[in-house]
Amino acid sequence: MVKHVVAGSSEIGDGQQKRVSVAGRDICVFNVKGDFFALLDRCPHEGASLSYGFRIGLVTSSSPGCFEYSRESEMVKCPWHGWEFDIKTGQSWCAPTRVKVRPYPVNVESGNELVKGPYVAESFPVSVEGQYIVIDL
Amino acid sequence: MAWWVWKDNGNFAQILLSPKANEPLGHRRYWPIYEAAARYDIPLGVHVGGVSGRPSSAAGHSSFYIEEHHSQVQAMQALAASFVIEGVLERFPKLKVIFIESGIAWVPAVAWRLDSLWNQFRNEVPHLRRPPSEYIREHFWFTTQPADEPEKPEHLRQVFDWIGWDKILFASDYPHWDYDDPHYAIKCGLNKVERSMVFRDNARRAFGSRI
Repeated sequence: MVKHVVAGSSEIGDGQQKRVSVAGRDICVFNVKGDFFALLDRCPHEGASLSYGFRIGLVTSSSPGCFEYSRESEMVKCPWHGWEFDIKTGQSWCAPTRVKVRPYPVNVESGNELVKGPYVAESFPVSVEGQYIVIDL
Repeated sequence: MAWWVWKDNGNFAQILLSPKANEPLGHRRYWPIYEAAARYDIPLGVHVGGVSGRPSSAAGHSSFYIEEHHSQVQAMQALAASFVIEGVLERFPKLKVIFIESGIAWVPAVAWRLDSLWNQFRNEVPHLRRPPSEYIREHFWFTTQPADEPEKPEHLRQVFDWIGWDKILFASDYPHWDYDDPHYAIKCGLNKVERSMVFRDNARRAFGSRI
């Protein structure tokens, strides 16, 4: 596993997401209430870029006519055909075992620790004072 | 009433109709359109949707968007039946009808049902000299969008086999949200010959010199 530095930790705010390129793959990094998650940026349905998707919560119902809303901004809705994905696991809500997006391990690491190496920062300068989003690939 | 068709205008590839007109499209009042279309070899394109003021579903108005989206298929099924049963295709043997965004997996089932009914009710409609499925296979083209997605992709292939690989037209429905990506939408996979037919050759045959 190689650590890839993809962004400064303050670049992606809560509720936001950003597409980054890591070793030739497009990966979307999501900030969910201060925690970071990363998914391959390609919807398993027809290949749309999930980084353009809508951040939504989860709508459930105990019976017809009732609507309950929870887990705000923890789901991403594909911009093309609307499939809902759980950002934390990459599983689709409607077919969780059959249709899922590959998740990648992502952490925030200090520049201090990172400069001890090894790491890859393809287009990214790392300074010891900074905090960085790191994807393990 | 005088009809004229811009048959010589190269900008027109088809005559576009809505499946939700005042009456089912097979009715006599619309035959002058089909006469012109057949005479000048212009295909009819029937695109799903339309606003007749009547509910999309024969059972009444939908409550949800998902339901309305699905209900549109009913009008196309009724249209297929009407064209066949009224004898439009018998009267205009050169007529081509392209079903646009109608869904596709229902076609064999509707054809089987109509064939079975034709065996039983033939003498009510003696102008139908052949089983309905033959008219369907000869005169109708169907677009791939929205691509049906059975759990077993080979089932979609069986649908295409039944309709005829020469009658399938790729459509993307770009820029609508339910657009089909040409690389990923048809999940049964296509071999080289099928790909050429679905993505190009069938359209050339359907639209003739107009494209």
